[in-house]
Amino acid sequence: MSRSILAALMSFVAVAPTLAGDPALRSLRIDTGRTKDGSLQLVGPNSWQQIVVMGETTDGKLRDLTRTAKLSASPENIVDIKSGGWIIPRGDGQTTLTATIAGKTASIKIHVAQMAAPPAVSFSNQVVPTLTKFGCNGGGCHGKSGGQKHFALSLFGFEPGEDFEYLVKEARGGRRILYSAPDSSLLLLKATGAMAHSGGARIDANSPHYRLLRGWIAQGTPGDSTKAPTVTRIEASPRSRTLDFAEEQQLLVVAHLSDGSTMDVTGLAQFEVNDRDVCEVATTGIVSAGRRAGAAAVMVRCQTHVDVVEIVVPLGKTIAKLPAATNFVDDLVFKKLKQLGLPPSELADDATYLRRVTIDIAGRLPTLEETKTFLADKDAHRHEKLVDRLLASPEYAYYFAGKWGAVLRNRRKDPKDETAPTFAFHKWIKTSLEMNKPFDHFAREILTATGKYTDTPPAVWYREVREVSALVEDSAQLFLGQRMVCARCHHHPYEKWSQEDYYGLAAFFTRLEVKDPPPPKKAKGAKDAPAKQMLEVLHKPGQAQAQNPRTRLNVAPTGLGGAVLKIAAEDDPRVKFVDWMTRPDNPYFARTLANRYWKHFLGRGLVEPEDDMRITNPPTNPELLDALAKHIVDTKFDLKQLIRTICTSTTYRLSAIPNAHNEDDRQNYSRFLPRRLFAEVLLDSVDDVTGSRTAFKGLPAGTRAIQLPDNQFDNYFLNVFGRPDSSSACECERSNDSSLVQWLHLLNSPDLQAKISKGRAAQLVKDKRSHQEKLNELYLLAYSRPIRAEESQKLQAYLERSANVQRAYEDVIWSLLNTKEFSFNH
Amino acid sequence: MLTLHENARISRRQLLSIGSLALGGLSLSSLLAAKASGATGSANDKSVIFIFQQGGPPQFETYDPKPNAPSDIRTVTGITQTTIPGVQFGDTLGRLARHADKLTIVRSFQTDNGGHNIRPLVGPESLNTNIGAIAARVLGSTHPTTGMPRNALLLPQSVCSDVAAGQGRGDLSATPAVGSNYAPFTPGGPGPLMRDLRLNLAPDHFADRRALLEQMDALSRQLGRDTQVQSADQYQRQAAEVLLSGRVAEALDLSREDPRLVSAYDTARYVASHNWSQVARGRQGMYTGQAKSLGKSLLLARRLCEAGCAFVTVHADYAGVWDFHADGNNLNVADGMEAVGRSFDHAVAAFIDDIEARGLQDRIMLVACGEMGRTPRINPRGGRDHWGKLAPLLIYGGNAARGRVVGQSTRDGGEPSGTPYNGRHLISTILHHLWDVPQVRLQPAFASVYRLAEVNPIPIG
Repeated sequence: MSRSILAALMSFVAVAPTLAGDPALRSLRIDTGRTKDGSLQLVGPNSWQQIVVMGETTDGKLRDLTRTAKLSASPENIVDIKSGGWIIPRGDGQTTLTATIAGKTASIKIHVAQMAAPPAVSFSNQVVPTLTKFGCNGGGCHGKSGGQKHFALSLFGFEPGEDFEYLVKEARGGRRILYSAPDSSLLLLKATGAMAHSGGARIDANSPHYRLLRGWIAQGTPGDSTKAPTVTRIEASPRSRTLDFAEEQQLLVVAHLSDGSTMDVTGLAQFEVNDRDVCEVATTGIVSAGRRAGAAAVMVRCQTHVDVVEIVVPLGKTIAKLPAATNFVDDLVFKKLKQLGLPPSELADDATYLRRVTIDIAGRLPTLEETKTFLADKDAHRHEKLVDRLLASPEYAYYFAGKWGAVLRNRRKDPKDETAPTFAFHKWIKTSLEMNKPFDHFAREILTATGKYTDTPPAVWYREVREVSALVEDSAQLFLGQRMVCARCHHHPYEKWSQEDYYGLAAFFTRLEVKDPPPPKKAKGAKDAPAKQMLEVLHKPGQAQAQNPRTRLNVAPTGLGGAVLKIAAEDDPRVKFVDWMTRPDNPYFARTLANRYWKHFLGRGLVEPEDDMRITNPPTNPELLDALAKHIVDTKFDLKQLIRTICTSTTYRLSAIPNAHNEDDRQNYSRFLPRRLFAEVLLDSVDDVTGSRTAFKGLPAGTRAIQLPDNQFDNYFLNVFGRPDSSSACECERSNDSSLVQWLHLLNSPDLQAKISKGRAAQLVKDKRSHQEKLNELYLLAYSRPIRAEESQKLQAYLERSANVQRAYEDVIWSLLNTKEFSFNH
Repeated sequence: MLTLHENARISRRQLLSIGSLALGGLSLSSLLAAKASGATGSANDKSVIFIFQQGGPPQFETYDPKPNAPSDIRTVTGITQTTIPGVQFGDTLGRLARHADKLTIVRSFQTDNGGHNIRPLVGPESLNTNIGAIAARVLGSTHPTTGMPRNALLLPQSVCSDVAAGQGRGDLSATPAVGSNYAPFTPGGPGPLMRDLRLNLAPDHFADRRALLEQMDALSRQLGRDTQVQSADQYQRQAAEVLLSGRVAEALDLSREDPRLVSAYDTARYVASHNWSQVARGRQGMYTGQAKSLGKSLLLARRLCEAGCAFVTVHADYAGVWDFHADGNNLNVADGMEAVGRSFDHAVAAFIDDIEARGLQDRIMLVACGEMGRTPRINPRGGRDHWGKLAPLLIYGGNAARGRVVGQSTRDGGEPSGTPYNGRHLISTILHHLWDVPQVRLQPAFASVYRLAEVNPIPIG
């Protein structure tokens, strides 16, 4: 269906009988998400049902015709049909609901019962979700601590018991709830805006939601009995859907209750989409495809329950030819590109690949020698051999030690503090990477570190990560890709995790003692202060358990989503935690690592941000994430093999230069995503090109920025270009975004000017070779490629024209450093 | 769309993806700036000007004169009725007394500190980091459009060339918690950002280089509309414009102000009337330096805020100009108030006149306090000594209530009676003015600085 016709259809709701220009309609059906044997039950006046009319055309495409089909019920007096396909019960009995469009019909039977003797409105399952839907209990309104204008609710309604207290018991005798005249209750007058409300008019007085709240008051504000059924899960449908540009789809959300019954909660659920260029979603649950091809996830929430719907909007171009796949990574990336009709860029040339992979694995530019050798190499396996060479280089271990050191918070509180602990931990990380310690062993040695840090350097992790909350949150974010911090105080709003889950994890870290007293003061008259007592981590035998502050009950150690563990008092519970975490079937550990490394090399995580792998933040290519995780488990957590697999893939070798179709793609890896070099790599590269090395206080001359053992060596350049502070487990501390201050520095810093003039420029002036040769060498140094003829001609002319050769070379080097070809990995 | 709270049409998802987005140069700072400016136009960024009264001003001779206390306690100066009924100031602050209906005075503030340092501006309560640097960590180191640094420090030499060099009591530019790129920009002083902001090449040489760069940067064009590359291009262009146009330099140039306004701010008239050479600080030119510079510093601070600066520290940079011990180094209280209090009164009152005239009172918050207060009992020489349990604190603007006295002190003016407020509360108050605190809370990268805003602000609203 063309966009204009669809638009025309939508503007003539329920009267368009045909689908002009579209392939003929083959079949029609009515979905409710909970129809049983062709029939649907509605019980009492406070029930309702969203329906969806789905058509299938002769070419096999699905169409949501809910808002275009003619809907009718026979007999008519059983239900009301509201616009958008919302069915409201009117009287007891049975009716047939029929949808008609383009000569096709579909129908379902609807049974309505108990209109005269309605069942009690459910406080937890209906009233509270209504307040959530309209934002009443949001963090900026009545949900904030202490409430708003003397009316408090629990945040997002996660504590219905408390809400019942606030609404019913506290309000007794006041005007918030008026049993004698429900419509005059402040709750309703404020919500509809009939009475002044700083939150504005939020609920329409003619809506089913109003009718529901009013009905609850009229019934005497019943609370939930202990036997009342609770929601066990919600299910959104369709599970996934491929949409054309500007096409729409109404979603359905069904709640499954503990007594086996179901209810429609489409009107109570909240919807949010993770990529609003691909599609938008309205509060009604109607998804509309946008203007950009790609995949998006629609997150559906109803109180503590969440579900996700996958939306794909294909570009629909035919892919003439794909480059040859190297390994499973390419199979799965290309599968997705074919599904989307999104043609990938061409393969990058060897010079670009050499520079790219050297930066990504070793954190530096290729040397002149490396570039010349690689560009002359005709071996079919030169790429694999290059990756192996880089993985064996000491720079690989340094570069990744910096990456891990930052999220493991290996920092000094003050730059003046002693360096021994951070240096020891850094050395341990670096050595682990160098010897390619399996990643599960690496994690285990950190999480179970015991003893003095001089014997067990990873004990230094516990200096910054000492409180139980920090231990829970950091280990979950680092190794499980889960951000648990919300669940410390309330149910996680975007995850299934409750406080029970949080304190189940916390229990693993409750038998821990970290000894790290402040350094003793120098006694009066003494020459030196007594030696500082060494940092030490100890296991204190005893029952591991943590108290859930809400229930005030102790929780036994429990892995996320795992079984409650019985741990003997003399065993260190951290060991059991790692046992659970590193099992081959753990759903988080290998996936988190896969995603973290994928992001490092491809510039965007399969899940983004890379350490926030919520169920409501699904991967853009789940099959690929699964396959990478399986690969990690199969290779026994071999980090170098993971890097080898990624860096030798065809996907990693694609050019950053877009073709006519993939310029907008940032999520399907149809091209290499260019990004600015990380701070340390950029500084080292500037130093390499200018031929002068930055000095770091207290470290030997010649130390490169990627070799810094911690991030407390003050350096303006590194700070400005987004070096992390190592103060959290979040990769987001490191930034390669651009800023004004960075460019002021690159364009205008006297320090940089001094490096250029004293170093490389002075050297080139003395160099007897021709301008042409010297310029070529500069290009090889900065860009890892030979200079092109036209570039060489222009620059030679510039040098020859100039009265001052030294100054002209300075200008050329300055310009090189300020191009994006230099500061970006591309 | 799910929103975090009712006023913010920014989804959590958007917020979390900002780091990677940088769409058209969008950064968290510009997003927050965009939000902050949402209501009334583009230049509506919030600012704080912090006058640090080094040495420890007396509470009695300023905002809490205790007229009914015994003579060895109550203010040594006269007392003046303010425009808040029932509230009096020491009479050195006559102009401020007439502006009291626009001020918030905190009479229950204490610094828990009795020694010379620069707390709470830099101290344990601020992670030993300049408060402006903490603010800038979230807001960004420069304003996204003007290029103005977000954090600035004004010393007497920033506005006057003929003043004695300072001898501060701590590192006003300390940034251990956030790194040196958030260190205050010090006009007329050293610092990498200051050096980078001043074009270090002849303009035509810079133009030559840019032309050459334009020719060489071919890949940038080939990479097309990639958001990261575009953002880099945009900032690079903007940086060149800042260097050439001197928007920042313009803000620093007081000669662009109406001379009548400069003269209204100018406190230099308080220099000539006295000769304080009987004490060391006077001989060193410290009182003169403060008087010469304070008014102009406040005017410059306002100009910086208008150009996008978020936090300006105004510091006399002289150890203890407010340190009224009456000893060989320092003046007694009565002379001290003449030497330092007069110019303070004049400068702050002129600032308030100007801010009210420009309608900037909601945007710019002024805070004035020192590292401590002074002893209730006057010493035998007519001085007051160090006192950590109560200190004077003035707040103006930024939605602080107008004409409010927060808290009260005990009868001897020695301690708060009732809830005390300290530097932590003050820092939180400042951050609540500058940040959208609920949004900042959701950014894991800001976790280490966010907790400073978790403390309850002083109830000034």
